[in-house]
Amino acid sequence: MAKALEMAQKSYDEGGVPVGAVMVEGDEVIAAGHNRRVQHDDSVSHGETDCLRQAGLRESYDGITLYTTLSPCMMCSGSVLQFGIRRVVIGEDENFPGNADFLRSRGVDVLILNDEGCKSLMGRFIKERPDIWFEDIAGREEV
Amino acid sequence: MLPAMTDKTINDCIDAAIHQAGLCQAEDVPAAGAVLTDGAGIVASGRTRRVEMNDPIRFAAMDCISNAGRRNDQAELTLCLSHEPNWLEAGTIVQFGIGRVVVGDREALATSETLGFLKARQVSVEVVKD
Ligand SMILES: [Zn+2]
Repeated sequence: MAKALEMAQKSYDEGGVPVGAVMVEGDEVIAAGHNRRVQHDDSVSHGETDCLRQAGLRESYDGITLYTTLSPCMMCSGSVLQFGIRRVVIGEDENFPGNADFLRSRGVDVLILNDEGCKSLMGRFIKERPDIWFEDIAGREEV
Repeated sequence: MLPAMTDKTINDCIDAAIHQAGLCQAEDVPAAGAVLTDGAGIVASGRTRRVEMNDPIRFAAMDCISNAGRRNDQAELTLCLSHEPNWLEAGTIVQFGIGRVVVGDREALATSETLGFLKARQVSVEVVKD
């Protein structure tokens, strides 16, 4: 999660939405990404989807754990189901409830860390740029 | 407000989505196409380009929504798909609050888990063609 938060901070420093994600296989980080809505003008580049992109095309996601600083939106939750990722570790779900229960209902193992670093960075961004944050989730906190 | 669409407009958009699917490179399977419309004209189009762009998330609806750029009017848009959406596409449609989805695959309606998911989450779903 430290690496995911580092990616979130990088996005914040670039003026972007501070959500970061990493893919872990065994003990090894195999890909890291962050939200690039602002940086690339790309609405589908959330932290999780950008991380999946950085990993490139893969035959299988067996044994992959996806770490994300913020509870995943429904797009990113859909990506977890689509690729058959079995385990997701979430930094926090206070700034955005996301879809942990939905993922669990579909058999995904979900752990929420309630991490103070993740909470404070995202909370700060939402206060500073509510317009960009609302655009990022299309104003939809609950779907 | 989600604008009403005539049968002709819907059929034209589905034809455009099927045309997009035909542009997929041979290795980009399943070939699929997508078109976003505001009811008056085409806002964006896309197709499966996962292999073409070495981008695992680049399914047809994702390509189309990404091509549409950053916007705030998704509730007024209709997404026409040549095939039933997969989970990534369905999750994206729900998160962004796209108002209506039209699928050019009548057989998909009764059995599709993702179309059921969209309807349960207040997306208007229509199916045309055989
Ligand atoms: Zn997301």
